[in-house]
Amino acid sequence: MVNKSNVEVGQVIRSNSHIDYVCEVYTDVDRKNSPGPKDYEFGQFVYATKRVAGEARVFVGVIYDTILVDPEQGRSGPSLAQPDKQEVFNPSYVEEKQVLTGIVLLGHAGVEDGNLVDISHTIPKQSLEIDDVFKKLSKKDFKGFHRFSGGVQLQYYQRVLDVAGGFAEDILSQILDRLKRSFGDEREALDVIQRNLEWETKMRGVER
Amino acid sequence: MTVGIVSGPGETANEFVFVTPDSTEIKTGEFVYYRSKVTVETEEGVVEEYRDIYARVTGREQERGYPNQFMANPDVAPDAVASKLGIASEGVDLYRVTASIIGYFDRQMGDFANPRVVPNPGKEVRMADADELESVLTDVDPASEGSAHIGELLHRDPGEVDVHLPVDSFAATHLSILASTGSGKSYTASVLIEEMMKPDSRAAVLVLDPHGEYGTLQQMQGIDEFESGGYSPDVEIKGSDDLKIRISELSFTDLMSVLSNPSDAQEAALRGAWNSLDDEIYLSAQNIIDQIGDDVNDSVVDALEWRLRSALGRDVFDESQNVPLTDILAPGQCSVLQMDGMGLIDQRMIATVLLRRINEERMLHEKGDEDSDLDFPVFILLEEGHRFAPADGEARSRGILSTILSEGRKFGIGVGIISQRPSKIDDDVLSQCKSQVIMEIQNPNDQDAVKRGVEDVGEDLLSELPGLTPGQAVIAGDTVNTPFMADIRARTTPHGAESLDATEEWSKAWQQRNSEPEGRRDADDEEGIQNRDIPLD
Repeated sequence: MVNKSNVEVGQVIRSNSHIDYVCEVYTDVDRKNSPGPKDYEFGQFVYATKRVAGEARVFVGVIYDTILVDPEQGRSGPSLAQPDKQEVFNPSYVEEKQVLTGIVLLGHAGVEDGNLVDISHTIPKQSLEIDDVFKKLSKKDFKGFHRFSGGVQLQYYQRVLDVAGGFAEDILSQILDRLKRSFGDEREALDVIQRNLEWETKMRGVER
Repeated sequence: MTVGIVSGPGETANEFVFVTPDSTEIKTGEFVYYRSKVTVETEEGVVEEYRDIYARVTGREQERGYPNQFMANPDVAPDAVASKLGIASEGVDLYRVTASIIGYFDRQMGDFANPRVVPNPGKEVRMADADELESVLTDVDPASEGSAHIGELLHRDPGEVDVHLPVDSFAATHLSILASTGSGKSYTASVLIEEMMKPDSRAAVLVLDPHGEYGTLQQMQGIDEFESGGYSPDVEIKGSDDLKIRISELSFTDLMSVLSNPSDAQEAALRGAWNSLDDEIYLSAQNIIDQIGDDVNDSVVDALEWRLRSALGRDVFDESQNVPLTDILAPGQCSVLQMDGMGLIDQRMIATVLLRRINEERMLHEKGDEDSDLDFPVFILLEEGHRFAPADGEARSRGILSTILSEGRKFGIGVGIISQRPSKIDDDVLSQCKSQVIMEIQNPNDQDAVKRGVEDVGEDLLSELPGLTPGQAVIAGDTVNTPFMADIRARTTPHGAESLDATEEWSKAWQQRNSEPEGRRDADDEEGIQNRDIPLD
């Protein structure tokens, strides 16, 4: 269900392109129920809700990269205390360690009674904005997002290959595994895609 | 109907390439056209006019389609995989089609004229119209006299484009029907004969039939299609018993060819004897022997006598009997000489003598001699043509056949050569046949022979030969305006060259043998019976 109870993963702080966003994962400072490592793991499906022409649309994406940032790194001069005692001696100190995730947008959909409708695996016309919040996509919505027009769809395939670079094979393979588990009846066709993906990416590595 | 768009020139100066999304209609051998401005000479002088320029499709390659990886699992259709990836399954296939320009049809010339200009990229390519094709492929009006409806254009729907050949043309320029066994060459020849025997042609046809396959043509008699205003084709079947050569009809070299290894001395003696013979009509071996000079050594005479008697004693030679040309050749008559009981040498000798006589009579007629037996043109069909004009080895018939093929046109003798082994036919003979019906040929040597002997059939059509099925043919040569592939029509008369139904014959023979009563046996012959009359020891 696309609803308020879904875990908020983080918010947009930058974008590399119209479909490639960088999201800062919420920490305990930002949210009381901050996301755990499983909520922003590699391959996690997320969505951001946006109002387009008066109607809510969700922009669905997948986490394809993680970057850890520590502004303190390198500032290892003499200090009065051990790092874990910083707050005692420096009450205004705010820990600025961050986890940034790369999210590629896969498609968009409308919402009706909490369900995804009018699903499209195309690039949305509108872009997200800074501070837009990404939430974790539920298992049910993951399935919903991939089944329309009478079958399992993976129309964003090429886009992931283009944006995710060296991680594309792993991310797509993970998605295909999940889809095969979710949709047993389409396993064979998905298998053909997966084998082709593995062959192309892994063989290219061997030939290089 | 527009089927594609020109993308550019092809490899040769006469080719162009067009792209078509259509995967079913454009096949190799199909006719297409584009419209282009050409300079033509009309009554009003030299003007530029738009003309439909015809081209034949010579090859097709896939330009775009699903990758092979989509076909990794035979149980999964590639479009099912494609649809998952958001690739539309409609209009995926894109073909790059090569076409060879034939030209625009010049009605005044009755032939194609090639403007030697390839179409510009972007030009629309259309499928040739059926009626238009029918009128430009061959130069004959289907409704007129002397048109032979032999089938329809391959690749088109049944009955869409009928193929009519001008009988006058192939009878004058000679014809070859080349095909492997079982691909329908005698069937095609029979269709041609049927057409030639129809009331609007009434041809004089002679068939030399070494296998006895043409007997069923007799059934033309009595079929409405072949009858008109008192005309009905006359079909004469002559068996090997009727086929005699009068000894006086032989030439000296003919005679030499039937003798068994004559020595030089024997040849010289025979030549003397032969030259001293008067123009006798009735001649026997004895007459020749009698003419051998007294100066010839006795042993030579004896040897020659033995050779002459054994050679001329064969059934095929006769002192007086021959095959009267007037019996076998007449307008509206098809004579089939069934030579299936004869040896190869005799078959060749019959062909040699008959062809020579026909040639002589036709020459006489053309020179204005009113006594000529043949005051009408004739068409001679030689089944198993490689027997009569082999590429290697000596055959008496080859010489006269070459003469007729090169000069027969002037004297109104048309020849049709049928063979399943083009590589075994003399190259000159094959190349003199200016019209060709070529059917399925698998053997590479035979394919090469066809390439050598047949001038205007392109590589593209020749490459189709191994894949043709029985009844399909490439028709080329002077009879048609451009080579094309056709489906030969069904015969009106039954076909006589069906393969033997071996299993049926075996089972019939077995039944017969097993239903015969066992031979009667005397009681004494029964096993285990002892002769009680013999005293015991």
